[in-house]
Amino acid sequence: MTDTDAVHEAFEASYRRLVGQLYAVCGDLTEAEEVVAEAFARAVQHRRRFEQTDNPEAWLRTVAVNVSRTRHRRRLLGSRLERTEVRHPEIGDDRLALVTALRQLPAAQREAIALHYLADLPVHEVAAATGAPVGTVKARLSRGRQALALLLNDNNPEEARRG
Amino acid sequence: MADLDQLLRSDIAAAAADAARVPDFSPLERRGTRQRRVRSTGTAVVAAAIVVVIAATATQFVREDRGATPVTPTTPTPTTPSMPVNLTAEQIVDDPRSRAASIVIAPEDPRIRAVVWRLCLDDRCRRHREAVAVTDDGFRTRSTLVANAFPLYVGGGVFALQGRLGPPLLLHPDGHIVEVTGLQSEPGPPELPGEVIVSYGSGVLRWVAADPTTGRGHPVTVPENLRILRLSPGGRLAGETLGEGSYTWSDNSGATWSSTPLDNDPGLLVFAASRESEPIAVLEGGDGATLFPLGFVHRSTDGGQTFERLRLFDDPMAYGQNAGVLPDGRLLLNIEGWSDDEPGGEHARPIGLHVSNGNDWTDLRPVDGAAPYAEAQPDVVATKDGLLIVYGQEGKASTDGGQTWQDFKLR
Repeated sequence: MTDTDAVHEAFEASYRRLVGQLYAVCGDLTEAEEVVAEAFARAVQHRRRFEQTDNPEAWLRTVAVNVSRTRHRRRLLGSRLERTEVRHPEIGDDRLALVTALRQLPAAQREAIALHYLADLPVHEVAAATGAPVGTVKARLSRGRQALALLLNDNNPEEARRG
Repeated sequence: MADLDQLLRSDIAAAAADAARVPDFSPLERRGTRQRRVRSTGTAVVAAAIVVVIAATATQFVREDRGATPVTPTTPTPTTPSMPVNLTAEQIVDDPRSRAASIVIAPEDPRIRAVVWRLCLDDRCRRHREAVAVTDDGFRTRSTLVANAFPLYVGGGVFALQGRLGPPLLLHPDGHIVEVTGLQSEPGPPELPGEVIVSYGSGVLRWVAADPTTGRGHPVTVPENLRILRLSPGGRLAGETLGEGSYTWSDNSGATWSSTPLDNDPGLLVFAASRESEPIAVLEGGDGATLFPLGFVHRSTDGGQTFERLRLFDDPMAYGQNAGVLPDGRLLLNIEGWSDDEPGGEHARPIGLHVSNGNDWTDLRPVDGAAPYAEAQPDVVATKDGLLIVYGQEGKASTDGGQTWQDFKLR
């Protein structure tokens, strides 16, 4: 078995799932693919550390989240990473509205909501992926949901009147 | 527009995973290898540059020392000592800066405990190390291990290590770990007395019943959408499910299951800690606008056969999730905040532990004596001795509903 087999095995097993989990974090499918691909490149770069980790997918997820943060910051600073075209999977308008609303949340809340609800990760895994204490993640989930509800209602005046 | 809860439970991640374009692995591998080389080269260049700078600086100092001008002593700039990365489990657990990230206490014997200690390596805790301390005698003795996983008590004196890939692992209080085997056989009910039920996998959970000593196991059928199993002191397994609101339980170690639908609308449900002999409480997260608004509580006084739905808070709404039922039937819950709190300001009204006025669970009042820990979130555990309230960071626990507090060892 070569040194890169562990990474290759993780790639085969986890690439798609990680892209699914990072999609709502990034709000763009292409961006999610790129940050997950970069996470695998870094796994090759740090292969010894990667092979020693007990949970390779969690390691990759944490790296992917960190890469997405870095790219987001660089984008805010005017980097050429800005995309003109955002790509989404085939999901209904309601779900698309949710992903769009997520992009308006602060990054920490967006990550928590996306990873916990949409990627179906337990709170402690979200805490591990984002480097935040469990209590902080819960608070972000609570505030993020509140903000999401407002955002979705703002975009849907009829719902807001009923709500 | 669909309800927010429905949207959040929808299959967006799965749709994205299906639509993902899978690149060739080889270019990624080459990219990673190239990055490693660049990093190594860069490190060598930086190291060489440092040598040059040190040499130049040393030369300069030598020259200054040779001059007649006296050197004024300077006050060294205080620096944060660098944190060693290769820490042992003992070092992580015993470091006073470590925080209890998870506390797990066995309902049938509170001396059996597992605590995850997290030591942050930077200010924002983006890098951290975690270790588990486990005991069966209240930490008179203990074992420690570095583990990137969270323990969950599953009965039989053992903990399952959650949050990792691969086959499930069972952690014993003496620190030894047993891997569960037999995952490929046909699902069925638990077969032998003493088997524990464990979930594993990330995302889609799978369930297995296993002998805690040998690890010999087999897949087990559980109710659909089961996410969390909670074990109560008398051995009842109560399951939290996704999707429909229900109270699901088994009193025969998972051989058969019962379920009572709850009239929720369509708020999230959180089970409060209670013993079989006490009323059962299920908190309902109100209107779906926030995660844990304490909108309603469902109460059962017949072991889960029937429930009544009671309103807790409305306007202002209280937020919290840690709750339990005291031996005298009163509801105890921890309020973390209020809907009319000023952001970053004072709380509009008391937070922390609240208890119901007798059996009237709709009349909740602050608990005297819990105030020193109001800003923290306690763990509330139903044990054979009653309700245990633990503030991990403070190392304090109460067995009388928060009236008095005693030291409680967690490492």
